[in-house]
Amino acid sequence: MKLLTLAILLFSLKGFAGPQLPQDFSQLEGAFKGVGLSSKKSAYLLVYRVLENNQSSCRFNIFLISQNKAGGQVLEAECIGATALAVLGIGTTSNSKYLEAKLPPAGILEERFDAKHGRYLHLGRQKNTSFLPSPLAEDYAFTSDSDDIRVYTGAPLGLFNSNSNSVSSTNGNQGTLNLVTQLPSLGLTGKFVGVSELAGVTILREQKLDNSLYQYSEGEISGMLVTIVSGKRVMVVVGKISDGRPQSIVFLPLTKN
Amino acid sequence: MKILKSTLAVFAILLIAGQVNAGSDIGGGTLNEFGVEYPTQSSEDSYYCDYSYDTLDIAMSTALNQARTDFGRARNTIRRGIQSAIVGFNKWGKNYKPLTKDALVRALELDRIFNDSCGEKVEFCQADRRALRFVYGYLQHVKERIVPLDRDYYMPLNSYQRPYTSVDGSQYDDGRTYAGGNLYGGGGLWEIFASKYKDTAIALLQVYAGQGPDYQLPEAFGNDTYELRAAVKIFNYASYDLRRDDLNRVFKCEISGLSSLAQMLSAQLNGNGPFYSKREACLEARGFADRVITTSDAYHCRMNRRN
Repeated sequence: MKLLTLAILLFSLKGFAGPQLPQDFSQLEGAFKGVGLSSKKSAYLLVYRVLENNQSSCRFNIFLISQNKAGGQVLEAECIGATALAVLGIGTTSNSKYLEAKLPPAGILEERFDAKHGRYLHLGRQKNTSFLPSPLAEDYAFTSDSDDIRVYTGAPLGLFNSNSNSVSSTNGNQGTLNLVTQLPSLGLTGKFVGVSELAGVTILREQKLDNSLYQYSEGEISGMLVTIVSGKRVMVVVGKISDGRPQSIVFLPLTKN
Repeated sequence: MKILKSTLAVFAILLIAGQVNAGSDIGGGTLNEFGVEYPTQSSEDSYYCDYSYDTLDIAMSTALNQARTDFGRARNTIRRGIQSAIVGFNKWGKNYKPLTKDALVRALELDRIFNDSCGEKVEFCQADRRALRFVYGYLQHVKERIVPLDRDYYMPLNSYQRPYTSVDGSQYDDGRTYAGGNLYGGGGLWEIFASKYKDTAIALLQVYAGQGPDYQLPEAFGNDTYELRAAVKIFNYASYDLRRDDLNRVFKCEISGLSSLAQMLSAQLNGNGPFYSKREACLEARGFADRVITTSDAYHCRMNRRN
């Protein structure tokens, strides 16, 4: 009997070790840790809630760090149920000036429960809706809150560098950032304007002088950047924009405010 | 003599003070913030008309300059310019129903589909940039397609009263003067007007579908929620415009298609629509707008209705 009680207690504890998930996924946000179900490699899911007039919009920006922190994907999600989100890849439009969610759908992020993990987040590829493959490389299970990476929604200001890669970021006008990048690993070298087009995700736009009628037309999109807290260090994760597919990313810690 | 001189001096000062006090009064009208003279009570309708058009022009060019440094300020300038222009049309509209006034009211509604704030967590809100670009493009459509109609034709208020359902579902009376000729018989001014008026509804869809003055407009929404909100508004406007004229029997298919798709898109925005995602709904909306513009898809339906 004692053994049974102990087993139930252990099972309960294991269940409680799962991620803190809201009853209503319109409130979902934070950083979650898990694994790719095929590769068994660790993965992180950063969920940013998009607010509209300070109300939940049921839209999300999702940054998936997979392949042992070597690759990342930027995704968009929206509510399709109380505990399920439709997930879509994000890419640039044909003229590379704007971001848009892409079809086919990438997959579904939903709450699941099993004896092994308790309550957890499952990101599954969308199947049988199109002949085109999902931009997700595999299915994922996020079974706990992240104990090292946390989302950070503040502006990435300062100098971030590591090895030969660096990003220097200062406040610009019009609610933008001025970024000077030396990212040979990604081929992103030069001056950019950074704007937060999506909550938590800063988009790098090429700086171009536009003398056309539309002075406020926007330069081409080159890459994206999210700020995280890894342990106690503020870092930026930078990558090129693609159609929601895995891409190389670099982690750069803040070295000078 | 001294007293006379003093009195004259006081009168002169009072006169000058009176002029200064009038300040911006030039030719009897007051200047608005864009430097356009507001017509006097006795002004003819054409003055009010010019006041509104001039105000809109100056507000648009001012906003364009401001957009170099401050999107929020430029967006506010556009809003205030539209509001000032509507004030002019309110006076002008005492005898006629200017179509441009309706179009400008719609411009304010379209501005409101964009957030005023992205939320407390986002430091760099791009909603102003998006709103500015879209509303500016829409105003270009108004200048190119609606203003010429108002310049060439009057949309009279009274001839016979006929109830119509407005976009928001409320009822109001709308009427028109029988402006020469007969739609079903002799042709004439009204028929020409109604035909051109119908064309502006299609032109409005072209703005949404990216075939208007700024060919990249749909992409400028920047996210699917904004595009869906705009699609719901514009489909309702176009459906209303097509229904409002006497050619509506020809466009029954388009009218019902636009209305029902607007309802579905609205449901999608509220989280219970028929599409997998907002992106899918946006693509459906763009496709439908294209079909109405080209009319190839609706041709048989239209012919059947005629029979």
